[in-house]
Amino acid sequence: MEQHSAVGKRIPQRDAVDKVKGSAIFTNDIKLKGMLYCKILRSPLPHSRIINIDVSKAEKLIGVKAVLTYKDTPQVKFSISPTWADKLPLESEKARYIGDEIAAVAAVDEDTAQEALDLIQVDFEELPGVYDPVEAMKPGAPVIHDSVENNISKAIHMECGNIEEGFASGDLILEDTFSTQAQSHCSLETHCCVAICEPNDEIKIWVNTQAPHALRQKLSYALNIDASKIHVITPYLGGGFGSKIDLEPAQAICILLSKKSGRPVRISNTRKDQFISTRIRHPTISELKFGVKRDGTIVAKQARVVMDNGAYNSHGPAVLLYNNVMFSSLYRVENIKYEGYLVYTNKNWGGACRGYGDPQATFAQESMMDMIAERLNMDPIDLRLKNANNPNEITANKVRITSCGLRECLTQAKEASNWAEKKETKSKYRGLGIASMIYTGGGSIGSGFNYSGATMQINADGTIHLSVGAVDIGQGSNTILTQMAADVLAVDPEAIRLTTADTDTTLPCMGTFGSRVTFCAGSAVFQATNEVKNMLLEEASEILEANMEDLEMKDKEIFVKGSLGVSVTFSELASRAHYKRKKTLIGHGYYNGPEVSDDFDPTSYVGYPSPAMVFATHIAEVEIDPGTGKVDVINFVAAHDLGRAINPLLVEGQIEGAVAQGIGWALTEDLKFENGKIVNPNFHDYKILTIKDVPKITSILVETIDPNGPFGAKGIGECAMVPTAPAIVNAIYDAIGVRIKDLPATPEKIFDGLKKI
Amino acid sequence: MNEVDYIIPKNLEEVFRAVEKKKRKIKFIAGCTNVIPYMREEAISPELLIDLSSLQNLNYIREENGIIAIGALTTISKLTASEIIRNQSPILFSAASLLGNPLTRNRATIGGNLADASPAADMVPPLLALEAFVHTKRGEGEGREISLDKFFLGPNKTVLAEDEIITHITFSRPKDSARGIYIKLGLRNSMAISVVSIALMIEMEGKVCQKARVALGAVSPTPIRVYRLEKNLEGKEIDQKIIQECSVILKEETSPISDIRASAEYRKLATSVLFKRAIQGALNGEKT
Ligand SMILES: Cc1cc2nc3c(=O)[nH]c(=O)nc-3n(C[C@H](O)[C@H](O)[C@H](O)COP(=O)(O)OP(=O)(O)OC[C@H]3O[C@@H](n4cnc5c(N)ncnc54)[C@H](O)[C@@H]3O)c2cc1C
Repeated sequence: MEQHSAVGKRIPQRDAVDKVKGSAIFTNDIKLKGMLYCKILRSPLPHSRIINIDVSKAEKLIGVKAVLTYKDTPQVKFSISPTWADKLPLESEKARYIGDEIAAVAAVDEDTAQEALDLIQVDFEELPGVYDPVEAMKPGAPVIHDSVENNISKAIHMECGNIEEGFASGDLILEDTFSTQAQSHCSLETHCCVAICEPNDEIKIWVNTQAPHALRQKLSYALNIDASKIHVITPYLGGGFGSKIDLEPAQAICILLSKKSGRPVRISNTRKDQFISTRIRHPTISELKFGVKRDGTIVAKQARVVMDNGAYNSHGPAVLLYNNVMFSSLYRVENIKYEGYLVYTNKNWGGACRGYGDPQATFAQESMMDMIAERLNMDPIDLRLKNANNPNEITANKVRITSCGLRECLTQAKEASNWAEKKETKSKYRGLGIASMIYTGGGSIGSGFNYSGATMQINADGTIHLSVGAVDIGQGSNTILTQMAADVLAVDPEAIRLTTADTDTTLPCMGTFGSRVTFCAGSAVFQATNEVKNMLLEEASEILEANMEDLEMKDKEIFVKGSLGVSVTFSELASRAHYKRKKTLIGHGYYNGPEVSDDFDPTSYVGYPSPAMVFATHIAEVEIDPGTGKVDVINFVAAHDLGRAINPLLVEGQIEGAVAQGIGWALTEDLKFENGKIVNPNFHDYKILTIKDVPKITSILVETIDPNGPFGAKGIGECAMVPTAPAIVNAIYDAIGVRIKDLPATPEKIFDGLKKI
Repeated sequence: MNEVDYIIPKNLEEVFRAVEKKKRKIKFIAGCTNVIPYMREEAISPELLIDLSSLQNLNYIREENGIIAIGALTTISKLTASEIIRNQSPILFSAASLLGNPLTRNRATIGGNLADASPAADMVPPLLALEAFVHTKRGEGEGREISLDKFFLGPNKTVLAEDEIITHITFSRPKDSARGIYIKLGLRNSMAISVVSIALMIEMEGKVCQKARVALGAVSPTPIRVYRLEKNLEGKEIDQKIIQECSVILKEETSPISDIRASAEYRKLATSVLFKRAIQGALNGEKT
């Protein structure tokens, strides 16, 4: 086996000590001289026409330095891409949800800014609102965006094989409907940015974004400012889960307020702001129909999905697409039909949220799989094995699979959970449930790009400096990217200096999402470091008069294999290169893949060009309190095909965190609306799990060594919460025979279910 | 949050002088675990905060002549660390251990929990079952001694005057033969406001129940004693038939609301489940 000096090692995060001590600087810690504080006036109504905005009183308040309405903005609508643009930084004609941005104030402190908001007079004409996506699709429903018919922002129709023949060839047809609720990301650090507009119109913005380079592009577009005038810097970032990928209206507002006031402007969300104004996981209703043979072969499957977009698009169109791709490509099924609708409602808008439409698809599909197994009197694991994806296959909907460890995930999770024995000796209120999933493990080039850049330089003094556009949002990419580089150069990861996430000093990276950083940024780092390594070896082979193949690296020195004592150090090589040969040692790495094949047809939604797919199986063991319906998750096994674990410690961290988030979504997390208003915008009433609720989680790392991933690695960040909820719901059914089809599985729903049996 | 004045008196005289002088909307504060969230939500907007936390002579747990006295400024953490509470009133001990989380317990006071008068307050059902008294003081005058079951008027409403403070809480040490149970049903295992809570104390002589005290949280506008249910237990051998009758009584005596945590119907049904568990536990000799 290959020997690795750094890859595969359980190394704690590079910045763990700084973060624990509180010395790490986050965006929220940044304070500049003369800085003003911004507060945003939000719509109190779910749907209204804005008749007039009078800011004259607010402007006169002592301490107020600038007030902004749509009139001070270029009024360019934005979204993830211009095609879907539907949101203004400050709305001009209509407000479409409770929380919509209407006006903003910059003042000497937050209290003054808040006071000024109360002085802004807005005349609204209230319009009828619509909160249920099914209602919103009906003719005659209130129109939320003028040009959008039936409030359907995007529809997807995908068919492969022959769905009718498929169903006809089955022995059994099952149909059912599953629905999921809104989830809030709840990252530890709230959204924050500090913007400064210099006298020469250059803009600098410190912002906790998951995608600094993409943000520069979006700001440039939405503000009509040349991108070369914008500098985006992302300091340490306290969690994103997808909520920080988008351009936030507040970021554009801060820049414009800085421009207007001539002073730096900061905005930092309170926790309540976070709940009421940032993106959420899209609620969905999924009607499924499955056709199976008696031996368990799935011959046809069909889904009709209504996805609640909320008031604006954000990532919605792509989330719906992922919902289709993941639903369709899990398991080897020839005949598939998918029909999906992304529907506007007068509620908070959905966005990217860990799993990107896949948790909703997987909850429905994996609940259905369990129902099929029961009807066929088959072990749920055997049913999944029967239909499992295989390595090096192209699915019916033309998704290319390279490495694939789904079977290993199933069998290893089965063993680790003691499945067979526990099923035999099942006690009354205990149950075991299983669910699997497929997800992208290296982003996708479906939108046209999937880029990550890196440079690696060795300076004349021998210092090694890696620079990547990717941002570490807490998941640990800084650690694993330096591990990869260190492994190539056979140095200690600590010896590598690292610059990240700065549009001025790093090569562009599309961002941290889609479980893509390990794969894409990792590939770029691998390439850049190998390029430098070759430069070093070339230099060394000249000095040591040996062939490059006979050279070996260790501790910043290069040796001739077998001849002890014949060596040259990195700094000797680097100073010779720089000073004698007048040559820098800089390697470049750039990933932007995979190649798009003819399989991919964006108009029929067939095919999806991801460089790698990842797989997983979760098994939950639960105990139900029959008196109250309370679910206690007592054991959890999560087996993941991640290609290779660059750092098993951090991988386990990702899995454990994701499972906790997944259990939360399954059982307690529910962003509740009443007539468009969120009624639980706080941690008291929006219940994420506490340490006392999280069970013991056993992580199993299935290393399939992907042919294209750096060191064989694929992504892990998002996918680890995808199969959690269906595993739990299936376990609840196993325990007490109550099938929860509508998340979350609250004690009350289970209690009601028990009464009916 | 609006601007607000703040003072931190060193003793009770200073407290009352401050109250007298200022003719403004005052609010006493202790651990602030209720007051600060309320102020942030703008549910209250006091003009003067009077911080009681320097009144260290109101921070104690004592037992004298069979009476247990707890100073109003005693934190919930201190209750969970007290041998007296653990040994003499295990139901109060277990309710204290289940309140909030360690951070909250370190700040939250027992006086604050009572004065806040949440229908779901965790300290109240056990103190009702222990037949506690609230002792108060207001200005120069003699203090009041109020039976806890006469203390609450509604959600966040008590008989306290705006300038009246709780000094301490007392209750008689339960008999050695007493058995008590506190059960809290929340939507997660920590940091959960009760959906339903029950405190039950019984004294048995042989098979006959001599005395029963049952109190509930989160099923009425205030925490309540269920007197009818107590009467139905006292002087009787407790069997399944009695327990069943009690379930019916519970349905009649409670008036829960539907809110974000649970529906009224679920609360009613869960109440009778918790009662059955509590009574069974107590009959089996459990003490918490
Ligand atoms: C995260 C969190 C979790 C929580 N979990 C729970 C829980 O599980 N169970 C539960 O019951 N509660 C819970 N609470 C509520 C709260 O912690 C308790 O009610 C606590 O006991 C209040 O005490 P305090 O000292 O903080 O009161 P404060 O907030 O300081 O005051 C509360 C009220 O009491 C009045 N007051 C305080 N002391 C006196 C006095 N000596 N005399 C007269 N009036 C007084 C104040 O004027 C105010 O009206 C939670 C709160 C938080 C923030």
